[in-house]
Order: sequence, then structure tokens, then C-alpha cells
Amino acid sequence: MLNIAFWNLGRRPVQDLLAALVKQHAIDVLILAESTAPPSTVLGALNRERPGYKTRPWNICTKLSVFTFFHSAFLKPTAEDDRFLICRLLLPARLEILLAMAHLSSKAYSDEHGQLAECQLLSWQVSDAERRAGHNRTILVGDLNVNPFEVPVVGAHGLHAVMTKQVARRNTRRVQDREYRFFYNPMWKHFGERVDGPPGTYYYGSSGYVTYFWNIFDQVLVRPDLIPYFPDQELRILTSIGDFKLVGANGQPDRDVGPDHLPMLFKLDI
Amino acid sequence: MGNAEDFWPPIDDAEDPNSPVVLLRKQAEALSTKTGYRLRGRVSTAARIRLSNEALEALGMNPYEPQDDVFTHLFSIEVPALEDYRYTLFSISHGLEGYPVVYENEGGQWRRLANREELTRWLKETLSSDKTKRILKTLREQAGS
Repeated sequence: MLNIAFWNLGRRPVQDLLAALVKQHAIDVLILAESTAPPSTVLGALNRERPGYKTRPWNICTKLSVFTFFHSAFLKPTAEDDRFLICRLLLPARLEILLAMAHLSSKAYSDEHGQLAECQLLSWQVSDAERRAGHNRTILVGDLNVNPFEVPVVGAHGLHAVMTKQVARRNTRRVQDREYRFFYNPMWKHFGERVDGPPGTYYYGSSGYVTYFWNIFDQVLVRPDLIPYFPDQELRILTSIGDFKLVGANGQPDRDVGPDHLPMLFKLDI
Repeated sequence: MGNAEDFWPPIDDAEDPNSPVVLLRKQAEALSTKTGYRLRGRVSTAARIRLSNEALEALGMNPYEPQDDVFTHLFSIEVPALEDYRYTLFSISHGLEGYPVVYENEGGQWRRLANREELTRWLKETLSSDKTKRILKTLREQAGS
């Protein structure tokens, strides 16, 4: 099993939390958004608790940082810009997959159509990377800054991510004479009151008429070809790491302890 | 069929040298030549991207009408030594007419370029900016000699 974690750090220096996270969950790939600490500082913290972490020797995408427990040469960048990074994951004797990572524009700076445009372009980049790789075994993870039920994620012209595996397994859907490939979005079942997890990954209560309070902007989307290798029950939104409690008594992320987003953890059985 | 009358207007096969995509392709070729093809410029076109209302207004389009005629060109730098890794440096969009063109600046605001002269000036600024220089330096180091 490959253990992958994603966390939007909100520019908080939380190296101790990261070190505890990789140690407790034996993380193989750690993907961070809004990490402002130098990569060497993060590497130092990770390797203090669990020696063996590496990072890319060169980096252009400024919004994401990636640390691996295997040699970074096995994670080959194939496309990127300021807000996304798509890599081929080529581990020895394992199935090759594409790992797409993104941190898209905040709702504070982009209207719903702007967010749709961003998701459309990301979808285009993913499809282009799949065409070049010669397969569709892609997993997309990141802070999309839109909820799973919003048009940029659900729309065929956006990321086209649907709530059930059964629908996603149809592979594609035709709309207005164009074929659009599905993603499966397992985040839907992580909304609301549940026994085994928080109601979302990010809490924000505005004073407007409509506010969801809990959001799931942090998502993992799975192409149908990878569904057999993605154990749903292993996808978790964490509320604690070791002795660190990430949420307060009200159940919301405790900003005295960590970022305003909760970390997400999942496994791939490739 | 051989004697069927042709109702089509005269069609000029030559590319319009002033069109946005041709200007981008020329800069893509210039990068490839200048780096001895260690880096390759590439222009890809994505049609039917639904732009933000702000972008459509900058294009002079009504955001509340169907928008099927928007073309978005992505300018990428490819590194053949890295198995054709590509970095998307910027994208621009326009309607059927070619001009105006819109782009999103670093601050997330959409800006309008009315004609060839404005696009050429913006391209010059963008391709010679410190950010582009930093990216080129990183990619050239990865591309090897």
C-alpha cells in the first residue's frame, strides 16, 4: 500500500505536526499546499522522525511542495504551472499511475465562472498528460477551493467528478457531441455528521444568507481505471496526529494548534 | 459531382501573420531555435473554455449569453530531455475575431489587449520578465547541454 497525505498548511510553520504525521501514518508521498517553510526545513523535520524523505531537486510550481519516502526520480514531473503539478509515478514493479496535484484559486479572488475556467484547464491538462502517458490511471489530489457538489467539480466541462463508483465506471459521458471522462469523487461521503470523522476539511461561516460552514475543498478524485486500487475505507480526514488534537471543543480546526484546513490521508494498493 | 458548382468564397490558405496564435507560435519557434531545441516552445489550443464573467466582459462579450466561440491558447515550454515535460507559462483567450485578447495577471485580474500592437508589447514584457528568466534558467539546467 502506498500512503499519501495532502494538507493545506495555510502558511503555518507546523513542522512538528508534519513530522508526527509522516511517522504515525508511514507516509510515502506528502503533498503540501501553502507551505512557506523552505523545503530543507521541512525535510529536516520529516527526516528527524522518519529518515528517508526526499524532495524534487528543482521546483517551479510555487503553490505545492512534494516530499517522498522513495527516490524522487520515481516521481517524474510531466506538466505543471503555478497552480498544478502532474507527475508520472513509476515505482519499481508497481503499476504506473499519474499523480496530479493542484491548489486552485480561492473563492475570495475568483467568481464561480473563473473557478470553472480553472477546473476546465486543469481537466484539459490531465487529459493531455493521460494521452501522452498512454493510460488513464490518474488520481487528482489537492485544494480545489470548490466543494464536490459545485459545477466546476461536477460539470462534464469541469472535472466531471461524480459521487458513486457505479456511475464513474461508465468511463465517459457524451454531452453535446463531446465525450467527457469521469472521475470518481469519494469525498461526498465525508460530509456532515458522521461517527468516524469531521463534517468536512475546512470550516468557514460567513454572514451571508447561504453558508455551508463545513466545506470539502480538499479532495481526491479517482479515474475509473484506478478505482480497483483505491480502498475507500482508507480515505480519512484527520482530527488528530499523535498527541496533537487538530480540532477544538467545538469540533472546528483549532488555529492555536494547526492550519484552518484538516489533513487528508488515503492509500493506493498498486 | 466532378462538375458541381463551387459556392465557397475565395479561401486564402495563408495564415494571418497578425493573429494571436501565429504571434505565439513565432515566439515558440524563436525559443526552440535560440536554445538549440533543448527547450521547445509549444502552443496548444483549448476551445469552449468558459471564462469568468470578468474575462468575458473584458472581451466585450455578454457573460449571460452562451459562449461557444472562445479560444484559449496555452503557451508551454517543453524540455525534451525530461521526456517532454512541459511548463505552462501563460494562457490567453479571444473570441472568433482574434482581438481583443484577454489574460489573467499575477494578481488574478483579467486584462484586455485590444490589438496586435498591445499583444506584442505584452508578450515582450512577459517573455523577458524576471519570472520567465528564472523559469528558463531552471529548465535549461535540467535540459543539459
